[in-house]
Amino acid sequence: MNEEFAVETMGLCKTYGNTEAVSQLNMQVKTGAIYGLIGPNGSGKSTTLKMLCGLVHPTNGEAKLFGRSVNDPMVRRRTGVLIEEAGLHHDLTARDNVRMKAECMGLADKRTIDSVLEITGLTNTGNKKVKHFSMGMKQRLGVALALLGNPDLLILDEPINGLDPEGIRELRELMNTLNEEGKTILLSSHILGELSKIASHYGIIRGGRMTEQISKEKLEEKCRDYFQLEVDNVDRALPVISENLKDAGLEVYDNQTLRIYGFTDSAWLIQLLVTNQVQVYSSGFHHMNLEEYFLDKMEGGARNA
Amino acid sequence: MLSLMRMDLYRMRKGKAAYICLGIILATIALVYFLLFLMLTPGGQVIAGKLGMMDIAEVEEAKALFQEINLLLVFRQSCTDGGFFSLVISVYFTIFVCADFKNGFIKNIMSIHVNRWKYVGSKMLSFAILDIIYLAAAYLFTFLVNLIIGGSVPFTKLSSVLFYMAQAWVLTMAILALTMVVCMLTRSIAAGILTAVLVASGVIVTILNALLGFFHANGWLKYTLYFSLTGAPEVYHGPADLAGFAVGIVFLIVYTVFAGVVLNKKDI
Repeated sequence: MNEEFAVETMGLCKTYGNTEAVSQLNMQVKTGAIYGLIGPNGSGKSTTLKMLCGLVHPTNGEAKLFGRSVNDPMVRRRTGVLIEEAGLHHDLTARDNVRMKAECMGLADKRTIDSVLEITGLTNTGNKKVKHFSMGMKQRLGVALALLGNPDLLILDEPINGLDPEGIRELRELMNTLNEEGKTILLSSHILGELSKIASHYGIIRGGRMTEQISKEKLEEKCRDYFQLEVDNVDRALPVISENLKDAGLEVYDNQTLRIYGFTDSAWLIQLLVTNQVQVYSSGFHHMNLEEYFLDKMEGGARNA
Repeated sequence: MLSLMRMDLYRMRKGKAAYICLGIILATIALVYFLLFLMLTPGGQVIAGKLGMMDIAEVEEAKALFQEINLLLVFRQSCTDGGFFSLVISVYFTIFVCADFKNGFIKNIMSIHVNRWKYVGSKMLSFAILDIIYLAAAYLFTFLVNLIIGGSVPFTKLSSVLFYMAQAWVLTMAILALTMVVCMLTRSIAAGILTAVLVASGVIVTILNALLGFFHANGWLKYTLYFSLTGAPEVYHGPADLAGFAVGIVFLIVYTVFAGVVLNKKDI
């Protein structure tokens, strides 16, 4: 059995009526990776994750977990899921909800219930009903349910939704710990800055299609330092810079913003622009972060000069 | 499937709804018995007379009624024959099943269990157990209340009670299976409860019976769930008395299979 990939999809499609939610999606998540699935709302992230969990039937294509079909009961037991909001019975306690999932999985050792409640910091909720929980507590309980049975793969859809900064930090540490223990984590999130702190691989999905899969190292290579200028008129500034900086990479970000790559002499350039009657509102050196890279990818990127 | 059934039974035990439904059934039996007490016992008739609820003529009618009544009949009239019992358990069943979809717990279940038939099977098995408990508790309660008021209603033979209860159990399970179909199709508590009201209380078949009666084409309606339940025999005389079982089992299988097919076809 090939376990190089914890998750692998081949030409995965899902159509609702005439709408293609997911189209020819090819995705590979290496075993042991933390894979961040990124995409705008309606890009097909949740549908993809639901297909991987066996909740949604693909219209076409194939999805495999640990080299086996997602319809193999054995691989299902190796997978913990949290899709969209945590599915919880609100008139029961946290412990009752976990106990129910444990019964559902046929887990004989009830100590695992205490274990996941402890990991997610819900041990002391006592008889408090889930309906009285905060959003963050519900989300943590959802993670606790996903962790039951010590799964090898965690599929988490927007797991940090509703968590406060402290909760986000705790969940990040938990995911890192679980990953160090050898678990593969596939997660989606809108909070890209947070995702960039933990993910080792990324998949960018747009319009139901995978536009790019990239490792953290490769991504960092692509993120270059640049000098950003905000000017009154880009059309006037462009020829001035192009004529004097022939080797530097130039990018028009918007109507007033320019980015220059491979360039360091900022004082000279600003002097040059002012001399040519281009007003400079602001300037500075930047390092393109992961969030900007993803946004560029999702929005189609800036206009290259 | 057994693990899912254990999960369902745990949820029933931990939730309040199962106890509330049983309480409603027992309270209704108690109310009916209170009215019977007023009608059938000398002490009760005195109270009813003082309250202006009965006159001498009505007391005589009640005495005549007293000659024909037995404990199982009281149980049927107060609990099962009008569809009250089926209605209560169907409403609870609807809320129990649809809650999984409404709160999203179904995702936790279906991400583990590839075979969705297990879900349908576990729900039916769990409610089969609850159905037996409710029927037994309701009859036992009727029995105890009758003892408390002096055993004024004659007791029924155990064989008759068991024969009827088995039919009631199968037929109410078939009604639950039909409710399951609607729950799987719509995933809506409102639709499930509407189905429970229409089917369990016999609204649809009663209207049909009236309409088809004009054309003398209503004979087949005795094979519907509602009329099978209301007309269920208490004593076995021959194979014809097993019709209630046959109707219940056929509908139970058909509706359960249909519910399973729908669940398998639809996305979660």
